[in-house]
This record gives sequence, structure tokens and C-alpha cells, in this order.
Amino acid sequence: MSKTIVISLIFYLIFAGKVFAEEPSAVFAKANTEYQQGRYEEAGGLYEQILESGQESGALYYNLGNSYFKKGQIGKAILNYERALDFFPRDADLQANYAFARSITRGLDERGTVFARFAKRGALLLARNEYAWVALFLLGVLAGVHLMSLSFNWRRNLQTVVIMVGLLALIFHGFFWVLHERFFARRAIVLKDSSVLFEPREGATAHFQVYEGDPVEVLKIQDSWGKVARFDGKEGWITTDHFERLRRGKTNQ
Amino acid sequence: MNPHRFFKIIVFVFFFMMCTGISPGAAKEISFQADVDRTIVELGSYLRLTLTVTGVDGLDQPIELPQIDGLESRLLGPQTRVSIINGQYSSSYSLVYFLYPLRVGTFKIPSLTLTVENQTVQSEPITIEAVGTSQAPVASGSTSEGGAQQGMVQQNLSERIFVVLEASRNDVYVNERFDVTVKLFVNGMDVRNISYPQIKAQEFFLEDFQQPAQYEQVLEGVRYQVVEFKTFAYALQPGAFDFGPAEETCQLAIRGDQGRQKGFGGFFEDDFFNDFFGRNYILRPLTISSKTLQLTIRPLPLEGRPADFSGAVGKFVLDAVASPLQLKVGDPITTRLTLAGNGNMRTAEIPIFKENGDFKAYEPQVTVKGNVKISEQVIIPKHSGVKAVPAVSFWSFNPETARYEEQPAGPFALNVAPLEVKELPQIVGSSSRTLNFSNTQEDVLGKDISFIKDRPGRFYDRGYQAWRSIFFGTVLALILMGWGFGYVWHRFSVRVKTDERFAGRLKAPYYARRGLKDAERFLASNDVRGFYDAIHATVQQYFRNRLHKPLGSISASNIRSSFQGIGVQEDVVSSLERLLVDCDAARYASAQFNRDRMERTFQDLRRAIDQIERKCRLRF
Repeated sequence: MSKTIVISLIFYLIFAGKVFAEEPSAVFAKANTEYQQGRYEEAGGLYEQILESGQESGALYYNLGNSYFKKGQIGKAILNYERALDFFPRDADLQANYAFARSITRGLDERGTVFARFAKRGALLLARNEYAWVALFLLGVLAGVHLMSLSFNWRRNLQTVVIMVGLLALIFHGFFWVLHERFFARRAIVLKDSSVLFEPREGATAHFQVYEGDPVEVLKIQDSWGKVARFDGKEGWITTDHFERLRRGKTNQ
Repeated sequence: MNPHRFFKIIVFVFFFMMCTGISPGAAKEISFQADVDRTIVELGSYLRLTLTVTGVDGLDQPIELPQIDGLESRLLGPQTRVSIINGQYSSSYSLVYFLYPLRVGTFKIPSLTLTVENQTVQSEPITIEAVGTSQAPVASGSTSEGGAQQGMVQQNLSERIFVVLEASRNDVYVNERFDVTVKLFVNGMDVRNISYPQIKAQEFFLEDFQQPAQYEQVLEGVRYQVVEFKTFAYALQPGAFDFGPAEETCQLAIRGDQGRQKGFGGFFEDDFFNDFFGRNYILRPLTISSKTLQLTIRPLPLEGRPADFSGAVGKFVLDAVASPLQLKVGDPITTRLTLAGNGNMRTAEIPIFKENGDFKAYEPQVTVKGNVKISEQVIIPKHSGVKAVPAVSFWSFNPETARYEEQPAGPFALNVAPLEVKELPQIVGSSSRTLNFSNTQEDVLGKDISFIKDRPGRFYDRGYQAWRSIFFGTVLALILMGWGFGYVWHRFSVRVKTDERFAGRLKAPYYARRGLKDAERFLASNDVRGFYDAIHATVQQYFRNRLHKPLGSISASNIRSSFQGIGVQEDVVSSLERLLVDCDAARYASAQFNRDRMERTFQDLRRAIDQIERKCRLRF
């Protein structure tokens, strides 16, 4: 009996540590410790390790962005802050860090048209999954209010108004949801200064300059070149190793 | 004339002359040049001599060539050229002569002197050689200007096309820039597709060549078309090294028939102008090499070399700009250092600001455009005690003075205001949480990012979308089903309330079951009167609701008509008639009804209701 206990204990000591170490939460805590001690390189590596295991969270991207920022990689920092915006866009710390990182880039301020600014604000109202649950909630409320109006025999006009308001709310919400998905699906961050060319080939004429941390919209991928658009509508080609898309899992290729 | 108008005309004329660069009072530069189209001519042929006077529009009388024994001259005519390029007016006057040798030998055209507009100018002497036809093979088919057939003397290739490599200095310091010029000289040949020259110089770094320039130049009396390439070079290490040769690759255009028949030497007799229109050309590649130069590279002196000297050689100017200079703690300052000079910009290390207790410094962005190197760097003051952006300096070695020279820039006075307390929440969770909120003490603040999150939050599988989950789909389905069910139930309720016939049909089975149960109870207690009352009431209630008939219409005499069209069997209708008659009889003579008859009545009613329900269900 005692022999079995000893063997079990040995197995536990050998494998338990490894199993627990691979838990994302444990790795996250370890990375935080590294960060607190000023070892940003090691902290960033551990955060990346969690991402490579197929797990992601808003706080993970936020902390990873901080690590890159401390290492002076502003482009990577902004990239991960924007990824974190997909999870908690209204977080005050995230908004402050993101704004600060954007303020020290060399690129132009992201102005764009009135619609573009409206679209970005709309896209970042809610998190990725919040859009889904809010849509469900709105649908439930619409159904409930509709049945209530029938049950309490509201006036016909009032019923129509309630239904129309509910449907409009759903449509607007769906519109912002689409904007959100489009924003994160197409957006990419420039990781190193580069000239955007008129044609996807080496030696082509340069169209405009982008700098580390600049956001671009990826329109098309062709071999190792990406057709990107800046906020002011200028379009051109740069190699895919100069930028990285926000949505992980979608490779640049 | 109106004085005011006259003044305006004077001003206009003066302004026009200023713009076009024509100065009526300026002295003209006059020069005189003599050149021949080739220096070797065969007996019986001729060569062309051109005497050009630049800076004049014409001469009062032609220039007379001196009599040369054995050489006959004939004036072909004058040519005048006038051009205004970039406002610069220039003119030239040329006289073209044909020279015919009368014997074999060497002839010297002496230096000619000309006096024009009180200036005396002189040409260079020219030596030409006349050879016999046996010494110079004649190129068949070549025609001269004027139609007379004459041969073109084969000259040495190196005299008709050659490359000259020139360096501005042959004694330079390591990393010192010097000019390199490669000239391609062409005389009377059709040269095409001229490539940029290649220079063999392993111990040197060469910049890219600039756009080539083209012009004419007379060398030893022969006029050449010149293509000139310029660039800069830097020596990489001290010592004595070969520089060059420069190799130039081009293509010679020759007529197809000549090239095929006469081999390589045939095209030298080709005339540049003969094949201008529509002849068949063959392009033959040609590589020409220049001579090699010998350059001496001197090392940079150790004496006086500053510690932060980065190896820049040349004359440099450093300019610095920083903005804004009035800001708050944590606000970024953009510094822009511009280094301009004639040295190697690739190796010139522009100074950068390093992080210290006063400033946080970010990596600079450096760009090089020609002779200018620009560094843009963001620095952030950490506290309000910072009074200036520190000065920076750039050290270089000036080869002209052979001394190390410093180019300082800055410092820039700063006015750094402390952060106000109300601004603090902008940096939530930052390292500046240890701020002293007392207004009486000076804040020691910096702008930085907020601290990391302690908790990871909920981990999702990468790319997880809630709307794709089973839970989301289930909830969505429940909402839609609930909505649909609620709506249907509402419509049903409304119909029950508003459609009496529909409601009656729904109630009829209920009344039937309840009535039959009552009748069964009376049957069990053998209460004849109660039983038949219950049977009568059940029939009345059931058929009133089922058939939507008034109560009075349900009687033995008219019940048959109520069932018309429903399809109920005749025996069922008969049993119902009998049943209603029994009910009436039982009220007044209940003694004649025994239990068996009551049970038969009960069964008849149950069978009749069952059959009617089936028929009506089918019908409705």
C-alpha cells in the first residue's frame, strides 16, 4: 500500500508541475511576475506562448502590448492593443495605453472621412462577443414586447411603433456588428517603416510612406505582397512582412 | 511720349533682359577652334576642316587658310548657330573647308589667328596624314556627303572610340569622398545602348552613377561626341591601390550587308549619316576599357582624434530642431537632427539622445536623402526640473584642414510644466500611482503606459465567436420558438373569445364528458329521474355547443333535421330520438325505467357522441 502511495507521489511530482505550468492562467501569472521584475523580453515570450497554445484573451493582448511597448516595439504594441480592443474596447487602461502609443508614432494622425471616424467609433462600441449577446438580448426584448403588446391589447399604432423601433434597433446593432467584424478582419498594423509602392514588385515607384505603428486596411494579398489602403484613401503595395493583421489565425499570406 | 509710359517701357526692357540673362553691356566671350573629322585621309579623298568662332553671329570676311604645300582647300560654306538655353544666349559662326591631299605625307595646319571685335583669338594646330590607297583599304559602298564615292580610311579603333577614367584626386584619406568621371569618346560612329560603366575597385566604395551628360569635345583637332558619367567614391583602407579600369559596354550599329561581308573591320568605314533613313543595321556589342589609375590612400591621423569620432570624413553641417519647447511632464518632444555635407553619409553616425534621469528616449528614425541625413527622435521629459534639451555634437575629419572638427547643436531651453492633479486619471494604473497629490510639493511625474492586468480574464479558443456556439444557437432557437408559440396562442385566445361557434365546438366534448360522468353517477345510484335529467342536460349542452343550435331546438321532434348533412348514421339519429323521448317520459313515469334500460340509454348516448365527434372532427 505504502509502495503505491510512494510511486503515485513520484509521478505527481514529475508530471504535476508540467501540467500546471502549461495551464494558461499559470503561464499568465508567471509572465506577469517577469514583467513586474522588468524582464519584458521573457514576459512577452510567455504571453506569446499562451497565444501559440491557441488561447487568447483581452488581458493577454493588453499585457503583451505593454511588454512590446517597454521593449520599444511600438508597432507590435499597437497591434496587440488593437487586438485587445476586440475583447474590452471600453477599458480605461487599454484606451490610455493605446492613445499614448499612437501619440508617439511617426505616422500621420488617423483622420479619414466623417463616415470613417463614425465607423471606427461604432466598431469599437462593444467587444466581439458582446455584439452577439446584445443582438440576442435585443431579439428577446423585441419578442417579449411584441407578445406583451398583444397580450395587453395595446393599440394597433402603438404596436406598430414598438415593432418598428425594435427592428430598427436590431438593424442598427447588426450594422455596427458588421462594422466591427470588418474593422478587425481587414485592419493591419505596420511593423516597420516602409515605402508603399505603386506595383507589387521590387524597384517599383514609391507612392507614399508608412511608419511603424501606422494602421492600414488590407485589401488584397498577392503572393508575398499586400495591397493596403491608408486612412486618407491612398492605396499601394508592400510586402506582407511589413505588417500584421489584427485577427490572429489569418496569416499574411 | 508720355514720360510715365516711357519709364514703364524702360523697366520692362530691363526686366526682360534680367530674366533672359541678356546684358547689353556685358563683354562677349569669343573663342576660336579648328577641328577635322579625321586625321588620316587617303590620296584622292578629302577630309573636312571646321573653323568655329563662338560668341559672334558672323564675320566680315572669310578666314583665309594659309597655303600648305601638297594640300588643296576649298570653302564649302558658312554655318551660323544661335541658341538661348535657360536664358543664356550663345552664338557661333563656322566655316567648313574640304581639304584634298595632293601627295602622300604629313601635313600640318598651323595655328590660325583671328581678330574679332578687338579680341585676338587663336586655334590649335592640327596634324593630318595622307596615305596611299594601298595602305588604306577602301570600304566599298560607303558614300560621302555630296554623292562622290570615296573611301573611309580605317583608323585604329582606339582612336575612334575610347573611354577615359578620371579621379578628382589621386591622394585621398580613408573614407574621403572624391569625384570619379568616366568619359566615352566617339568619333563618327553610330553607338547605341550605352550602359553605365563598371569600375574595378575592390578597395573603394562607389556611389551609383548620376544621369550621364552628353556634349562635344575637340581633342587634338578631332571632334568627339562625349558621354560623361559622374559619381563619388570612398576609399575603404589605407595604402596604394589600382583604381580601374572602367569598362564601358555599348553596341555599334553597322549596315547588315557590310557587316556580313567585311567582318569586324568593315563597320569602321561606315558613315554616321549614311544609314540615317531606313537602312538595315546590325548591332554588334563592344566593350571598351580605360586605363587604370594609381591612387594613394592615407590613414586618418590619430593625433587629436576625439573619443566619439565615428569615422566621418569631409565637411559637415549639423542642424537641430526640437519642438515643442513649452510642454508638460510626459509630453513628447520631437527632435530633428539634419546632417548635411560632402562626406560618406552611410558611415556618418548622426548623434542621438540617450535616455537618462531627465529624459526617456525612443529609437530614432533615420533617413538619408542624397547628401543629407535626417534623424527624428522622440524624447520625453520625466520631471519639471528639466530645463533644456541637451546639446549634441558631431565630430568629423576635414581633409582640407587635416583636422578633426566638431559641429555642435543645441541646447534648447525647455519650459516643462508639472502635470495637474486632474490630469492624473488619464494614466490609470500607471507607474505614476506613487504620485504625491499635494499641490504644495513639486510633482515628479512621467507619462507612461498603464500597468499590466493581474487577471487574464476568460480565455477563449483563438478565433472564438459567440454566435457560432451551440449555446447561442439554442438560446436563439428558444427565443424564436417562444415568440412563435406566444403569437399562435394569442391568436387562438382571440378566436376563442370572438368566435362563439369555434369556442362552442371546443367546449362540446367537455360538456359531454362531464354530463356522461354525472349520468354514470346517477346510474350507479339507480336514480332514474336524476339519470334522465343528466342525460337530457348533456344532450342539450353538447348539441347546443357542437351544432351551435339554440337550446329549444334540441328536441325529439327536430333533432333529425339538425343532423342533416353531417353524415351521422341513421341508427344513431334514431337512438337519439328515442333517448330524448325517454327523457321526457322519465320525468313523469320513472317507474317504467329499469336499470337495463338506463344502461342502454347511457351506451346509446356515448356511442352517438363518439360518432358525432368523429364526424365533426373530420368535417371541421
